[in-house]
Amino acid sequence: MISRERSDKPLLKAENIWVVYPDGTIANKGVSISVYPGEVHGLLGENGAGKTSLVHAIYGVVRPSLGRILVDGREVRISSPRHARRLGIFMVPQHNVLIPRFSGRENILLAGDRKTLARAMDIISSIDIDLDIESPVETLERGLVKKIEVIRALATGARLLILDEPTSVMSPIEARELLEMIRGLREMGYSFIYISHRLDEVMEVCDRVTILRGGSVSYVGEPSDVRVLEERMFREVDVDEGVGEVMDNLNIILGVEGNGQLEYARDLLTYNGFVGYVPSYPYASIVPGMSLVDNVRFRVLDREDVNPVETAKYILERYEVLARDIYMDIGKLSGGNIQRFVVGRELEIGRDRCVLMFPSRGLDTRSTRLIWMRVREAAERGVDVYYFTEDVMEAVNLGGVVRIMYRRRVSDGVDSNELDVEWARRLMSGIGWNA
Amino acid sequence: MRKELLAAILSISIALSLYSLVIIYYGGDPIEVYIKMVRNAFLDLNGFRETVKLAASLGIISLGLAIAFKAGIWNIGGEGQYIIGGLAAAFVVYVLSPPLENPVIPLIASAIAGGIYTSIPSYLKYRLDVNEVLSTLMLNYVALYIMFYYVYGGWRDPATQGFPVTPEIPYSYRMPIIFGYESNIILLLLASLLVYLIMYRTRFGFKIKVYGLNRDAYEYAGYSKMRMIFGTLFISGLMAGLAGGLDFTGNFYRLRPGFASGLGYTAIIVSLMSSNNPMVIPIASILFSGFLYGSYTVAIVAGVPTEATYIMHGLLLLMVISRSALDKVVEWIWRMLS
Amino acid sequence: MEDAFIALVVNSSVVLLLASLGEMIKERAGILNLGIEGIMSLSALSAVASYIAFNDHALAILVAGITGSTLSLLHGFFSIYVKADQVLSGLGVLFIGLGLSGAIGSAYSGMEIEPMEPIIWLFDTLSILAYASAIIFYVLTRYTKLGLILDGLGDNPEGLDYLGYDVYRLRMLAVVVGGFLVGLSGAKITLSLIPVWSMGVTGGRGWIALALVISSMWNPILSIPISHVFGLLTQAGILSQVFNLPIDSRIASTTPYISTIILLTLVHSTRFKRLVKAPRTLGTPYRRRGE
Repeated sequence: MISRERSDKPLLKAENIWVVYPDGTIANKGVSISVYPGEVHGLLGENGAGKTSLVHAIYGVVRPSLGRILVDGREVRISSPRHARRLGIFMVPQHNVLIPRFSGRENILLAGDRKTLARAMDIISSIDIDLDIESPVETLERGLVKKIEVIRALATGARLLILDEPTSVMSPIEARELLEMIRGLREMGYSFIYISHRLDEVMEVCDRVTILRGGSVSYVGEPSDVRVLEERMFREVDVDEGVGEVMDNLNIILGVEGNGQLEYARDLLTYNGFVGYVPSYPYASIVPGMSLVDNVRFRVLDREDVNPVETAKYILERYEVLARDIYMDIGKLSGGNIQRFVVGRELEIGRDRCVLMFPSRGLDTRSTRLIWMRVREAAERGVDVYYFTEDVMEAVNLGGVVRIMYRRRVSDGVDSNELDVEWARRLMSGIGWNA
Repeated sequence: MRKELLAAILSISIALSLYSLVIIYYGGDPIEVYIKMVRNAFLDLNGFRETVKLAASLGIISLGLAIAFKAGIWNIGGEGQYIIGGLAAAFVVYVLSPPLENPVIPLIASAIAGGIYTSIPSYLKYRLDVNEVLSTLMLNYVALYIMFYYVYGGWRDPATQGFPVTPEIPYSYRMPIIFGYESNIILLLLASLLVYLIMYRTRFGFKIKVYGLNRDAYEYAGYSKMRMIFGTLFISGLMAGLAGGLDFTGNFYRLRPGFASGLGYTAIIVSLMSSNNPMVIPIASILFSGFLYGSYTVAIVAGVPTEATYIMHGLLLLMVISRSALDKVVEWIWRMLS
Repeated sequence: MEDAFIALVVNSSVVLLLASLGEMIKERAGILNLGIEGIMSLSALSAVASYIAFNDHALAILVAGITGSTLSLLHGFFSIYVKADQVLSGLGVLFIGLGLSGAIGSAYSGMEIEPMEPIIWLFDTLSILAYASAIIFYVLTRYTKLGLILDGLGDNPEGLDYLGYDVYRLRMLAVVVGGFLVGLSGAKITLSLIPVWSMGVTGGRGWIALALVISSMWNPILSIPISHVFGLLTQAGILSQVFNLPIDSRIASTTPYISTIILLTLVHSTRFKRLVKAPRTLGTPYRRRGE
């Protein structure tokens, strides 16, 4: 951790920010945050805790209902992202904002001109990293893409960069490299707001953290102890009830997405029996515009053993899907509800086998735990479950046989309750495999 | 169905109002023109007969297209499939001359020929993902020239000098006339019932709905892409071909260059306007046919050229687009209010 | 005799070239316009009407271009702002274009006008404009930021939105500029190729142009040779008569249409599939986040 002799005037100071939306939701309740030059400031919190709103207020996407923002000590009213950028505040969102068919160089030119490119090259050589800016971005790994996005923002005038979950869908090695680059950039005087729920990364790279819970700040300070952080993040203290016995037919495949899971899943699906499949993104598995019943029906048209109406009602109840009734248009449901619906449907119709790809991604804690329960119930019924996850703790908590996957290689199975977390993390990053 | 019928009627009303501008441009009085059109098409015995015949073929093509459109498969080749159907029926009558002389065999031939004519676009779409709009459309032109070839050439009637037409077919091959009206319309009603059953009472019909709403979900569920593409295109080609055979055996009784009168394109509008609903299509067909026939008869008097009717097509299509836009605007307003 | 034959092919090719280039601009920005045939038809008519009224070829060309832009603007409005299905908006423009040209055109049916005179050898103003446009298009998109923006619109409009570009307006601009070129192709038909108006004078060329855009892999330089091959093929019917080929002229007339299908088949078959990269968001309306 570096001390703050660098400067005692914050680059950005948001005071007592309240963000209230037209429909009445209060996303931020008097939140304050300050970021100094040359600081990496972590922003933590569960989904819905108010991180996005706060950051949107700073980036000019929404106007805070109350509170003020000071940049370089001067109060400003940030009216738009363009205005924010002029002040030196940039945001790198989670989704891809580069043009895939262009190279890094072309993407940088698109954001500026030759001078911008020169500045980018300067920064790259200053922090001494290898960056391929000649190949089309669509051919590059996520880690490189993120780095380019960061460099581009800095080259176009960013002083404070807001990073929204930068290491999602990235292998642990790439994540480490990104953090290293951020550290290097911090030395150059750039500041970062680092939004993440990966506590290990936050502990590693952040100078200070602000934790939001239920719209207000629950902690500001140095990230010294993981337990403290967790405690301040979640409403109740989340004590896991204990693993429950390990089930042989609950296969957990642990690995970062992109290491061959899709191919493996495809093999699993070519099975002569009733197979359920929950894809990584639920939108390919539902038909918006049709009712919930019909969204069960279309899966089982050629089957006699499933009654769509009863099954739909069952799913609504057991998987806590918030819908008026089974005749409601599935397209009107929120993402979380749709995900729970799909998981429910596939676990029910997949009598013999069920393959779930990262089903708890983006879900809140309660939904995740619900899914774990139902998955275990399905395994108990005799369904061969294949649960793909990126989260080591999830693998531990599920209670099955864990195999780690890296670049299409699958490790031997280890029971959840005997899983060595560090060993697992290393394998996921590619360290420790026999040649 | 009620909502969709209402939407169709509303679209026609608005389009007619806009179309009156066209009539005014040509110096006519819209109300006078419209009244005359309604009288000629619906109140005049002969006119009504013609309108009904037109509606039969138009409606059958539209019904077939509706199945493809519902699946999101854009069969623009209705015109070509219709021509091929007519050609096939003509082939049966002129070349094969089977001993069993009635319209059934030519009609069956026309339907099958129309269906087969979609096999190349189906294959190309399934195997190579070639856009079916272009492939079906190109075949329209091919069918047209093939028809010219036969009408101006091998099947030309030597008796009619100067006019390139084929001989009139014998009475035995013609569609029966019941109570003074051609029985064509019965086929339309049967077809409407058939398509209704397919769409709403079969598994395939449900699959069509799924495929049309979300192609990925359909494939995710493991159903056959091949059956969907070939099936829907074949059925729509079959019906368009049938319509061609029907016009040959039940309306014109011969082939001539103007046999292809753009019916296949008009059918696209009718289907879209009816939201691909097989119960609305027959009604929309009759209304539209009335408009078309009325336009032809009024053209000389009002000075509005017959080609202008394509403006009506365009307006109606804009109504179709605007409807989804209208829905979106309604939703947007709804969201702002809540 | 030789010269007349080459002139015919060149003029036929230039029609296709202009239309392909115009559509190419739109498609690279992500907009699919199926209504080219209708736009071409109306523009062709407007060129004739303008010439008959003012006896000026240059003005006629300009009028045709503006007609093309205007009708394309309508299509663009429905596709970009209303976010309608682009197949439907394209068909809508198709029918309106055909309908308007049919209606207004009946007054001009059969009136012959003076075709444009060539300036250099066989090439008249529009031909030179066509070749120049192809080259300028290539240079601008390959070597300037304009090209990055255009392809960005088609590949990832969200990325451009993020950088502060107005995606809607830029796409509209592409549509209007492309539409101007399509309008010029209509002018080329009635001011040069077939200097008399009749319904159907466009003869499916608008559709063929659509296929040509795909086949030239959205590359303006490639569209030059490809449009010339098809410029030749579209005249197959006439040529079969002129050269007394042992094939019925009507059957010969099916050549360009069958060839288009064959071309599409070739282009989509696996060997070429890897090279042919359609603009990623072609046909998909763009929605700003939160709309």
